[in-house]
Amino acid sequence: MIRKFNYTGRKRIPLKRISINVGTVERRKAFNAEIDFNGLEFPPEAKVYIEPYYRASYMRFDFGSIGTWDPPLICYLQDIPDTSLILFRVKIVDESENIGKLLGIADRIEPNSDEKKTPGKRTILPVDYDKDLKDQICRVNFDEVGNQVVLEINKRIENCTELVRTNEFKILVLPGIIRIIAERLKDYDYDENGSRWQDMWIKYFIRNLKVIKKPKSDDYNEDMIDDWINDVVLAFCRNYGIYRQFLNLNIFQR
Amino acid sequence: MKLHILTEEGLTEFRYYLNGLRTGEIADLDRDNLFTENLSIQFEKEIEMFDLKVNSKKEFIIELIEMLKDINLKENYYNVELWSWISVYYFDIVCPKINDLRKPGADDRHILNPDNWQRYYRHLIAAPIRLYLELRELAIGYLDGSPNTHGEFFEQLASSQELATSPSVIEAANILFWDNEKKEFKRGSRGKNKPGTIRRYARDIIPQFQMTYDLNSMSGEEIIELLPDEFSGWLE
Repeated sequence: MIRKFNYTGRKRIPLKRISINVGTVERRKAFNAEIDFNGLEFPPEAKVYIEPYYRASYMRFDFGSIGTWDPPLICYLQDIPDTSLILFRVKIVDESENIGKLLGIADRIEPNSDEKKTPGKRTILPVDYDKDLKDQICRVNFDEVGNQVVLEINKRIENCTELVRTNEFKILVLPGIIRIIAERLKDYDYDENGSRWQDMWIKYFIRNLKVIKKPKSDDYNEDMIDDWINDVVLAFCRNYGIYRQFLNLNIFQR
Repeated sequence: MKLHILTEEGLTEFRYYLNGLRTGEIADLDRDNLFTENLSIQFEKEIEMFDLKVNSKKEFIIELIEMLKDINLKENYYNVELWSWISVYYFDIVCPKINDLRKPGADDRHILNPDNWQRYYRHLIAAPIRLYLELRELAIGYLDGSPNTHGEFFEQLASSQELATSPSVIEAANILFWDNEKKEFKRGSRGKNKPGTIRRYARDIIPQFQMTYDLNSMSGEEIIELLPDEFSGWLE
C-alpha cells in the first residue's frame, strides 16, 4: 500500500459524518446536505462550502459557518450535466485570520443511494444511468478527467437501472465492454504502483482474472497484444461462467 | 430574421455540413437550407437578429448579448438547439473563409456539447457569452482576439469550470498578464514551456494552491501574494 502524507495541516472530515441527498425539486435536480461537525474542533467562524462536480463541471454553495449552519433554501444543480455520478466536495475555510486557508476537506463524496456500497471503496466500472444516448442502449466513456471508465446507460430506457442487472446484459454485453476497455489499453505501459484508470484495470485483469501481464507495446508484437486482449475477454467469460449462463438463457426457445 | 433554434434534423444536417467542410467534400455551408422549416423552428420569444460587422471577439459577444437581452440567457446556457442555430446564423464570423476555404475544426466549436464543461467551453459563442455574463469586466482576457478562435488564455483557464468562473483566479490572471493601457496581453505571457506564463499559472501553480487554499474565498491580490518569483516580472 502506498502511504500518503498530508503536509497541508488541514483536517480530513470523515465521510461517514456527511450525508448528501440528490433529488428533484420542481422538476429540477437539487441536493441537500447534513454534516456532523461535533468533536472535529473547527473554529465556529470557519466557513463551510459544498461543491458539487462532475468531470470539469462545477458549482459552489455557501452553507454558512461551523457555528451558524445556513444552507441555501434550495441547491439547484443546474450547472451539472445529467449524470448519476455526481460527486461533492466539502470545504472548511478560514476567512478571518489566514484568509482562504483550507482548514478541512472531504472530497469525492457520493450522494446517498439505495445501492449498498462499501464506504471509501470505488467500483471499477461505475454506471451512469442519466445519459440521453438517443438510439444507443449503452456506451463506454473513457473519462480522463475523472480518471475512470464509465458505463453509460440510455436514460430513455424504462427501468434502465435494472437493465445492467439482467442476465442478458451481463452475458451478451459485458464481455464486449471488457474487450473495448482492453483494446484501449493496447498501447499503455502498466505501472504497478500507478493510480490511473489504466493501471487499475490492468491490475484487475492480472489479480482477479489471472491474466498474464500485458506485453510492452512496440511495432513487433502486435500479435502478442491481440492475443492478450483475447485472453482478457476469455478469462472474464470463464470467471463469470458466461457460456454456461448463456446456455441457461434458452435464447432460441423463447 | 427572427431568432430560431435548430431541430434534431437541423443539428444532424449542420453536423453533416461541418464534416463536409472538413473533408473538402462540401464547398460551403448552405445557411438557407438550414433555415428551412423542418431544420429550424422559431424560438419561443420573438427576437430580431441582425447581421454584425465586428472586429473582435469582445465586440461580437457584447453586441450579441445586447441583441439577446430579452432572453433569460442563464436559463438557456445548455440550450443546444439555440446556440447551434446562432452559430449557423453567424457562421461567417465564427468560421470565416480564409483563402476561400472554411476550416470549422471540431463540431463542439459550433454545435454546443453540454455533456460536460470540458466539451461545453469549446463552443465559440455560448462559452464566451456565459463567461462574460458571469464575470463581466473580469472576462476581458476571455474576449481577446478574433471570434473564430479561443486564444491561449481561454484554452488554459476556461477548460475547468472551477477555474474558468472563479473571479479571484481570473482577477489575479488579469493583473499579471493583461496590459490595461494597451488592451492586450503582455508580451511573452502566452508562451509555452517557459516559467511565469499563463500556461504555467493555470496548469501547475493554481492546482497546487488548491490543495491548501480555497481560492474563491480570496481576492486576486491575495492570490498574487502567494505566487513564486517567476511571476514577479509581470508586476513591474
